[in-house]
Amino acid sequence: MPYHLFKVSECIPEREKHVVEKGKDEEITDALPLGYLNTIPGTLSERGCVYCGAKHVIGTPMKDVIHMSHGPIGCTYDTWQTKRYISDNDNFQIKYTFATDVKESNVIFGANELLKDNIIAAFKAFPEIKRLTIYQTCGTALIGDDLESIAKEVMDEMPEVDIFVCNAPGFAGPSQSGGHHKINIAWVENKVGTHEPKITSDYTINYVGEYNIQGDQEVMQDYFKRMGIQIISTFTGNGSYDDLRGMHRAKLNVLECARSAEYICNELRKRYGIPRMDIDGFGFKPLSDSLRKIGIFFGIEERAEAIVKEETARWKPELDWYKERLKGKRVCLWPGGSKLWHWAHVIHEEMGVEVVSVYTKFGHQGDMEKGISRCDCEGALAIDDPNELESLEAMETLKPDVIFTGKRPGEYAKKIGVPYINAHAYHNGPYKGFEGWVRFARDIYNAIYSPVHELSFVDITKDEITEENSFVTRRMKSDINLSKEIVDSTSIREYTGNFDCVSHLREKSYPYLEEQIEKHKQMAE
Amino acid sequence: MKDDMEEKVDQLVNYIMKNCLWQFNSRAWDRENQNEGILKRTMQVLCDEPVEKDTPAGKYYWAEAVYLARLYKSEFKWINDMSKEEIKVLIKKLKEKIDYLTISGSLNEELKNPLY
Amino acid sequence: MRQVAIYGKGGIGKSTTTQNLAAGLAEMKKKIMIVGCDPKADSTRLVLGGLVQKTVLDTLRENGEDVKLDAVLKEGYGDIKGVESGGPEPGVGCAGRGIITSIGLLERLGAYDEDLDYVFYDVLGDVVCGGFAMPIREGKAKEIYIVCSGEMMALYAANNICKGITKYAQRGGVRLGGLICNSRKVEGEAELVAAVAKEIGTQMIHFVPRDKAVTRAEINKKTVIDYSPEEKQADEYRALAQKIDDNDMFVIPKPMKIEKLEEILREHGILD
Repeated sequence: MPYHLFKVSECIPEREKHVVEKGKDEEITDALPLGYLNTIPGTLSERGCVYCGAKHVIGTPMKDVIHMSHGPIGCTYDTWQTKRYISDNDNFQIKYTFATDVKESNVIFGANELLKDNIIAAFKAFPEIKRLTIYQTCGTALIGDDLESIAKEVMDEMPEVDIFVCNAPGFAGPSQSGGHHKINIAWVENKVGTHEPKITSDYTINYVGEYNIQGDQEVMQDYFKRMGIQIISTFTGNGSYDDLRGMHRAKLNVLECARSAEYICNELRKRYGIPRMDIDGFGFKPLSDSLRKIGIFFGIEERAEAIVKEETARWKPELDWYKERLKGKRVCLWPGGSKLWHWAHVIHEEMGVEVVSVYTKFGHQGDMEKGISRCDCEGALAIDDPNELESLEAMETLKPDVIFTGKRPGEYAKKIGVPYINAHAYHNGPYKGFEGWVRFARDIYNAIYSPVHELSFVDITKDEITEENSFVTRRMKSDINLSKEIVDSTSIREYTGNFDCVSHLREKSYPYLEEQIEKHKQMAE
Repeated sequence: MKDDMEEKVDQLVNYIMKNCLWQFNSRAWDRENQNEGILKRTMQVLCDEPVEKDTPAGKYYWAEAVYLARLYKSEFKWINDMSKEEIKVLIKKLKEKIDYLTISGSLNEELKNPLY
Repeated sequence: MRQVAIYGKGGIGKSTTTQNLAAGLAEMKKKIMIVGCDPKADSTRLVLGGLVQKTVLDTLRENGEDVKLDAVLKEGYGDIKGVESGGPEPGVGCAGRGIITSIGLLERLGAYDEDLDYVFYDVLGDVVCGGFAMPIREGKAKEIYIVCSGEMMALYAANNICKGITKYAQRGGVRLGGLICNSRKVEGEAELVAAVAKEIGTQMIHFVPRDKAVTRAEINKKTVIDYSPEEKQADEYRALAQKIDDNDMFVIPKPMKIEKLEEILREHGILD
């Protein structure tokens, strides 16, 4: 498994240790890319900053909270609404963004008073919201504004409110990952254990490292509730501030994105003895395995089994319809962190695509250990924190049919005719859950077989429209090489779900959960 | 040429590395606990021995072990024909290999970080 | 226009020396502006008779960028113009950024009149961060004097300030014009300061003796030349003014290693 130096990076020899080519019969103990290091001068990183990692990724999905940036307005604008973490309270946390709008004179004279005025004004403007999080930024960190004392002052004056302070200025680490770390530790230090949750089930979990991207959390929550499990808190998608203060009471931490949230699980295990179970919410088999293991832990495995059976019967024929059409397609799996390993094996096994490269923007070496172990394709390139030129070179040499990545690399991929799927905020998610996995397959299919690339070369004002350049549908492109048997098959079908597959979950009733609630009510009496 | 036992261990190792996540905790001491806690119980489940699951941690390891043992039995039918002694040797070798891949041979420089 | 920055250890007498020096130059009919770069805003009280103007940063805080020059710049003894940057209360905000902002604002407002012969920047304490080096950046003060005494800590500070100057001197045109010894009546003080100056590569431009006349004038919010022009001490400041006006020794300082400084102190019986 040799290290690999891109041609475009021959002038930056340090980059070689960040790229590994997966060889036959070689192990992760032979070579492993470096990770979570400061960006090398000369290789412009596409990473975010520490503040962004703390606020935008982890803090803001909390739904019943005023999220206030203490800094210039650009910091908050650039972390507002670009990631689709919805919530069941009318999306308060993404509708509104708050900033103290620090200016020159605030820097000189200190911005403590400005912060206090803004906090009070925000609570006045939204009297139904009683929780607030302050995010420090570079400027206010440099001048040493005392956020904790301001928070305490306001809490003394307004006893009904609670404020969390997140000291994670942009410069305090190599990438957004440093911010994930800081806010994890700050939350467990300052907020966990300050609120007692109401226990209404024998089966209690924290669902950790889940950000409700386009409804992921709500899809998974549906399965847990169908099993009678009480989710004490979700860290943090669609999560409630006070629920998260009660994390210490769960019997199990169910962890999805270990990259962004393993810290808090580790601390909860150390401080409160809560075990950490890493799961996959993506893909039929990994998700089924995960639900069953949670079922075994609580002694309710048959309930998990019933869900797996029902959902598989409903959605497997649709997944297989796409699998037939995606087989052998080459993909670059280039997400931020955890999807590197969440998806690496299962998109191959369940959708038939070949993962020719994995990369991570802000992952650590542990993510590469997982990702490289799971990636099947021999010769696949594993890249840590590539720059734009390296990504372009990789696309030229690997010739992927589609890449799964963020919007920055996604845009320049489009320029060279490679379609991309947004791995962070999704195209038409959710992607978790059984139905979500089919939606992901549909998005991949739509991207690969979009006729737009051919059409873009036709100038209808002067070009003659012939058989070769006339409009074709995706089906015409995708089915041309399929056997008649598959094309006409009635046992598989295209996605038949609704445009919105999440909202209806909010109205559902859950017999097992209600049984538990009733039981705990009687116990209390 | 790998002998039969090695071949079998490789299959089990491969299954864990591809499908499981528990072997990749972020610190060496946690990886030691996870590998020991889960693989010991996997052996106990496969050998029908009593399994310690009274503590929260023990219960978690047990849940992982029950599931892993079940998958091993269905994916690798040959395991059903093994004697208890053979299974013990098999899992011992399996654990040695997993320990090597995830701890002693790991190139992950964060494993020794004393803090989370 | 000669732009001059005055540095030195806190409490050594920078503001007093600067204003008395300015008064001496004013007697020579020089046109002078003093820019106080200390949040305490006490760099112009002796020439203006107290704090009569608003500080630049206070007006910025109250009125935004819409500042009128005459609100922040007043004339006093000998038509010396006085401006105070001002700044935050101790313990909050960023005084260094305040100096940067304030000098930028003064330039935009046209405070740097073509007719001025001298602009003095009276900068607090040590060069603790980039903001406090603002007056010696490219295009601003090209001359620096360090006020010190024969006390150990004052000389440590002077040597340390030279390190800051060296950085800017190598990049731009700023030069050290000399050390001004503001006497604390230490034994062998003049010789010691002269020796340190020589080692750094500069001169002790003047030895200002300690005299009660200074305190008396200060209590009355005046410089010595203004309050008691016939005193001997007034002549000392006149001499300093003349020497600075005539000065042609401008160097890139060579700050000493701490061991060398200690050796000199030991030779002069300071460190035993």
